[in-house]
Amino acid sequence: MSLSGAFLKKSPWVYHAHAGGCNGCDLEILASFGPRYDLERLGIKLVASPRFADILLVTGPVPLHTKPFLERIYDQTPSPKKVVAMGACGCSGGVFVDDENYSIAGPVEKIIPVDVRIPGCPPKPEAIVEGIMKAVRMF
Amino acid sequence: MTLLFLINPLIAFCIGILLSFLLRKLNARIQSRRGPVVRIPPAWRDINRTKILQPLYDILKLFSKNTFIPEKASPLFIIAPVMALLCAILASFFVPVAGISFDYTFGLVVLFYLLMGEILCVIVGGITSGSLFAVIGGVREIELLLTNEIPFILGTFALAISYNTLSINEMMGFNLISNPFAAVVVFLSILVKLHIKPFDISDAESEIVSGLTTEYSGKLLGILEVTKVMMIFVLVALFADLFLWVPSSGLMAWLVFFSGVGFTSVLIALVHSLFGRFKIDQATWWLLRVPLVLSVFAVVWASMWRYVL
Ligand code: SF4
Repeated sequence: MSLSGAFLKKSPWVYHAHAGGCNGCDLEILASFGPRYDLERLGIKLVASPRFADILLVTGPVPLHTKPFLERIYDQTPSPKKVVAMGACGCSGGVFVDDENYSIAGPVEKIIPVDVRIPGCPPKPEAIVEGIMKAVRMF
Repeated sequence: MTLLFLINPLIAFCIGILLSFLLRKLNARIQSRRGPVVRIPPAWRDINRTKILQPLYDILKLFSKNTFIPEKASPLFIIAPVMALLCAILASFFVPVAGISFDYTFGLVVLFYLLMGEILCVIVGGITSGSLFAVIGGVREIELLLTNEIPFILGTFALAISYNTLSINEMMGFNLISNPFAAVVVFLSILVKLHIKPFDISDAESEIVSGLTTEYSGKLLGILEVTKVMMIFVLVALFADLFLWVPSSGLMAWLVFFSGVGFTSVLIALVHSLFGRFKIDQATWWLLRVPLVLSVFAVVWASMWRYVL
């Protein structure tokens, strides 16, 4: 573990990149930052710009027109960084998985490297906490 | 004069970290969350044991990350945060910590310029990044600065009138009783300067990403965070010195000073978590209606006590 990893572990900031999900996942993210599961206990903060972020939390199956934006967000995040793909959509394409689907650019891992996947549709806040903690321990 | 004031920036940084932890914690507790925990549960002990130093971890982390410089940015993008930090460090020399400070006859005036200079440096750095969000944030910040600076200066000058001096060390005292209007005005302007909730218009996260700091990342953002932490201490300590100080010496002075600082920061944290955000026109109007009138009151009150009665 490097020195920067030691500091990154202690204060990971999360940026939520919405890539065409149905908002189910997004609500669960809010729930995991709310009173019950409060991720701020561990110093994790939801930030408004990818430039501040250490962890990208991507939800949704990435439609074609969102693909360039997702790539750009990934490039705009200063390294070291980790990517967490969230929800059935983010992991595998979920209900949009059909190969004949004309408008989907694929699950997140086809576009940017993914470190942790959180399955579920939507995942429970417990699962989100667990997934983010996994990504944090990878730094 | 002793050179003890040279450690003021260090104190400002250390106590500033604890104060910003307090702000985050109280904000979370009022929203019935936990906030950064003091004792981490055993399952997460491998990360670290306590989160009291969370703002320090944030800063160290930012310094260990890559930094992006936007293509369109001018050199000022890099120079401005350093200048802002310099202003904050210089300002901390002039604010008495338990009576220790660089005691200069016109200290108050110099402090005005340094506090304003810090904000101006951040504005310059932000708008040279070429980001539209930063420009919107900068415009809002300037509007707030213009309307807020008059009440702040009038409020502190009311004390200068009653003590007939411009040195901060000589006008320290429990002025909350002798001039309550000035106390209210200076407290309100501190809220604006620190971007506390009703006045965090210039870095409204839900509208304009992060305002002036939108394009900053990594080490430059770290410098800005250090500046912010120091400014919290400088302004809170200024309020505690001017309005909540009881003349004393030795250990007692530190006790009085830190209880003043603690009281002020708890008050600020309460305001931060209990209010929503003003719109920019509401904020400027409100600042012109309430604090400006109160600050004129404060000056009249002070001169009345001094010259008439
Ligand atoms: S995984 Fe389910 S809840 Fe999440 S975005 Fe996809 S469809 Fe919506």
